[in-house]
Amino acid sequence: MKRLLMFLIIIVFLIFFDVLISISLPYYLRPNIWLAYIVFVALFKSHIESVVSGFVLGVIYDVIHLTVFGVNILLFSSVGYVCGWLNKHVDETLWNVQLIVMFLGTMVYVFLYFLLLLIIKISKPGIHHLLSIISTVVVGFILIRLLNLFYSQQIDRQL
Amino acid sequence: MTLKEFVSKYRPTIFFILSLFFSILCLSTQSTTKYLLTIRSFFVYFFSFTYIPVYRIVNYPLVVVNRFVKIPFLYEENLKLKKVVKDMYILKLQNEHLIRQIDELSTYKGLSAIPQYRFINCEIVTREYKEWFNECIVNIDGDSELVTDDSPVIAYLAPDKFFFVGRIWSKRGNIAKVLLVTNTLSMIPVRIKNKNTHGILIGSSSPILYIDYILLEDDIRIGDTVVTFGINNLPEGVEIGRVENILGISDTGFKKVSVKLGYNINSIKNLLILVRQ
Repeated sequence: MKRLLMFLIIIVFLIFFDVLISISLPYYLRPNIWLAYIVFVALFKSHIESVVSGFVLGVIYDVIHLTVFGVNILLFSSVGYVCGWLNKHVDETLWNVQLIVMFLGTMVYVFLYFLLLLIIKISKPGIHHLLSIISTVVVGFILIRLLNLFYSQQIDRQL
Repeated sequence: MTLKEFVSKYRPTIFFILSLFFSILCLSTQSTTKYLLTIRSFFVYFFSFTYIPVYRIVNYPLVVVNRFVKIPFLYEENLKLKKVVKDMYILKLQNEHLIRQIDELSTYKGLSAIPQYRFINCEIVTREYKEWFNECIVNIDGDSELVTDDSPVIAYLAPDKFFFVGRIWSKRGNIAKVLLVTNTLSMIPVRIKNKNTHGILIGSSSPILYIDYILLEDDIRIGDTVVTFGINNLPEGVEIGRVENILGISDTGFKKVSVKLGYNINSIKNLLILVRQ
């Protein structure tokens, strides 16, 4: 119950920050903070949780962003699945590991996104879409560090 | 390995495959299911001010609430409109019956049949700035086969004003070129409303037009309403504008006046073509 509540609070925060980012930045510079959360879950929680959170966040993202329904379910689930393989195989507390996994997750997302663009032609792929990789990796890394801090404090309290 | 062990070992993969299956199902039903599109349209209406609906939830919560509050009112309005449609249908039947009666009576008395007119909608699609007061291209929405060259084009201004705009110059398929009344090539017979004064309205590539060939003894005053004179294809009595100035005697030896259009020719967009049935 507590975990579910935490998950819901995080979703509310993600929506709120997503709106803030959407208002303040052009679409090609917007970082994908949802992706950062999925990468965080893949590193710190478990493989199955990363896939499930990818699926749930994908559904929410598709509903509130009114994109082609199903695209982000596929993308986020895939990112969760791929990054989830690294769970318990790497030292997730190291900053360089977090940065690399965040970059890997973003690349998986962008690659699949471009692949989908070619298949279902939802919009024209452009080079400027790649600019969001930098912002996603940077903001995502900061977010993972913050979540890591929060998560470790919670574990300390439980101990 | 039992099934339970297999499931517990490959649980992420199984869930991933299921989510993939679900997303592909959603993507494949996207373009085919009209119900899904309806639900999405519903969401767009209520939540989407711009392309991201979350803007509305966060920035304009009152707007969203108001829209939901409007639902019962919309429902009531819909019911009233349905009633109006029913009444209109009865009126239409009565009208058809009266027209049939008039036809029968006119045949019985040996009178000529009243010409039946019908409006066809059209929309201006191109209007070159160099030819702004001369011509425009319209897209005919509906039965374009009834439209012929010289069919009158009329502008409707709510609630009950009709103004003569020009005539069909040429037509190809659904696209037609309209010769505007302001074109220098446009010369149409006109008369003064409620008076026995006739003349020819000539365009000047500007919002001001001229009526020439008015007999010197004819009564014409500033502010008189100019309407079409029903010759050839032109309907009788469609308003064009008002007399702005009496210019005296022209080179032709007739009286000449200037006319100001009764509508804003720059803002015309949706027009009506008058065709005989």
